Amino acid sequence: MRVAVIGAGVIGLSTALCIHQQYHSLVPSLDMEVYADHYTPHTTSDGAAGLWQPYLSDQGNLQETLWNKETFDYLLGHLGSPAAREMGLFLISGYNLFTQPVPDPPWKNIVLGFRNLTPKELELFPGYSYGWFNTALMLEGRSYLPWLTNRLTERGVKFCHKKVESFQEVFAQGVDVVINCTGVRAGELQPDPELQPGRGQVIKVLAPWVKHFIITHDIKSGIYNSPYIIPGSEFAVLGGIYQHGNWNEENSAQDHKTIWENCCRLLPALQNAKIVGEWSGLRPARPRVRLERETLGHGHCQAEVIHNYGHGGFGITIHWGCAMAAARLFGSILQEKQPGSPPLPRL
Amino acid sequence: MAAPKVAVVGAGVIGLSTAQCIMETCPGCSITVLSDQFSPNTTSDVAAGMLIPHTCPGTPTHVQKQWFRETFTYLFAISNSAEASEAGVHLVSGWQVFKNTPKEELPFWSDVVLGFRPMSKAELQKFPQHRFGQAFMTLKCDCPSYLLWLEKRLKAAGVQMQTRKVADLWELHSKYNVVVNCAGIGAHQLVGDEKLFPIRGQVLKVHAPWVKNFIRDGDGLTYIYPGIHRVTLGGTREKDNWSLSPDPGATKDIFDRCCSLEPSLRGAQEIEVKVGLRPARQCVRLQREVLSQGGVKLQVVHNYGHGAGGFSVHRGTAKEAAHLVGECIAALQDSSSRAKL
Repeated sequence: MRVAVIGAGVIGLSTALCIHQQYHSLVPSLDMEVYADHYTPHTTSDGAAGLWQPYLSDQGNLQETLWNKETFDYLLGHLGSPAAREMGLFLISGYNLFTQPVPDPPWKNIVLGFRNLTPKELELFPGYSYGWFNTALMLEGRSYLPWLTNRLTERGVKFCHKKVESFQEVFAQGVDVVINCTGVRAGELQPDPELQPGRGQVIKVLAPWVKHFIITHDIKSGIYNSPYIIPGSEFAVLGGIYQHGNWNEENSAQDHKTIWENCCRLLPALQNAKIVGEWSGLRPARPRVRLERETLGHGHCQAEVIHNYGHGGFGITIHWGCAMAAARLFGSILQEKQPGSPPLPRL
Repeated sequence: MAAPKVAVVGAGVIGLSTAQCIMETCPGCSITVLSDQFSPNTTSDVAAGMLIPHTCPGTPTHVQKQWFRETFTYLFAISNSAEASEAGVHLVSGWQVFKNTPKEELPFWSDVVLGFRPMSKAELQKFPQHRFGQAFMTLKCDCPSYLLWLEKRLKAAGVQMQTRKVADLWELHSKYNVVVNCAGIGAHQLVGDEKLFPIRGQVLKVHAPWVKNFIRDGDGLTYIYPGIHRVTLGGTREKDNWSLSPDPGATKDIFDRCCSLEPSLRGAQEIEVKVGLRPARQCVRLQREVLSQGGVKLQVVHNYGHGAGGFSVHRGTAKEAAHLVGECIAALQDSSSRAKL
């Protein structure tokens, strides 16, 4: 059974690992390959700060909240293990700031110690009158992707540096199942008008005295269009840009100014922070994650695709829940391919 | 009397902050800080500088709370300013965990720190050996940044710094009108205070920048305090031990205890071992004294004996000491004007 995973960001690699972990012993012939045009440290996942935090509202999409919870619990379970360091996984606490009271988020009971900010704490943030404090997790792509790659390599999974132009191209080589984790460029393999880039830009600085994440929200300008500061293990990430439909991956001087001024206003001491880098990336934005099976082709040559893309700005937050769901879909494909078993009705 | 000349003996956090408060309340004073050690070689440099008070049995709780509150308010403003990184003052949140529920679930300082609350069951799961805990946010003064920042401000205001070992306060009487004794553990020898004793503390300073939260065992012996560049792992509390040499057995023990609270510390790098002698006393000696020798008087203000809680109350005690210095100067001006009559 040949499986090709297209895409080597957090979604591709974690889905590959999840499927391999669950099915390798059941399917001795399982032969898995990863195809990608970009590998760490050049994927979208590498640019993300790595903070586990979903959007403020799941828009009634309970499924995504469950996947977020599954991911958080999975990561929390790994915290005490020796692997945590190598994974780039650690606890971090911080603030979400608002200019007016807002309802509690669907993830308030997933994170640890969720509470409202006290008036004294709000004194730190003039202009913000309401907020939350909680402990969450950081999972830094720069470490997590190499860790995933090592786990896959140990399992004999092969990596191929190539840009896949079509599903057909892959099936023509004898692949049985394709896992489509192509992120923002999924539309190149199959048109998807719902998938749009959510362009972001970040400035990386040395500010090791900052121990908390600070995420501001401006209900009017929308998610990630308000300044945020996320301290990582080596540098802090300053951001606050979300441009829907903008495919430009070049850094913009105007966006730099916006981020810098807004973040320095939030934390005056940042003025003394040394800038060590700048990066732009395209969040694979979609009204909801596309996580489903698709059967291509007809007759005896049924080619199976499992789509797992469109995770917007919460890929790291949701990745393991989605990987597990993709693995379940893979399981149902295996079930159908059992010799002698009747074809299952498509659900 | 011409500009009063004040000598501050000691250049740790107490000496420097006291000099700063004197400078603020007595702008006409000429101040000199004298010490055999300056940062990075003071006891303060070894301390993590966490604002978590230690109960001092001889001082009324409301006084300790006042000192702590003043210190907290002062540092809170700095942490929120552009100077925060240079001053080494930053907020840090975390947990204090107990193996057994403490008698006093609400310490006197719980409404001074930020967001104080009991830990949830989910949070306690991270600490399987502990049954109860408190979560809060407080401030940390990273040394030597904090001391260097204080020194810089003092020098800019005309305060003199002198490296000199003062063996006897009387050495200073000819040049200075008031002597402020902030000698910390040095007061044992300097003024012969037998009630002052060291509580030796050994700590490890490690590179572990992924540790963003503090963790403290309520027994006060084991703690993990993330600073700007280093995480302080502690510790020991050895009464009457004067040794400043690192003890390798203690190093291993501290490291193991901290790793059991935070397993990821096994990957910590660049482990540096430091030793400091906490200047412990039944209570902080914060009082005036007029020394007399052969008809000559010397106005002294004592401000030492802060034990494990120096950083937590430094600003509060410095302000009170500065107030006492003011009283000394008033007394001197009084007697000098009476002398003219």
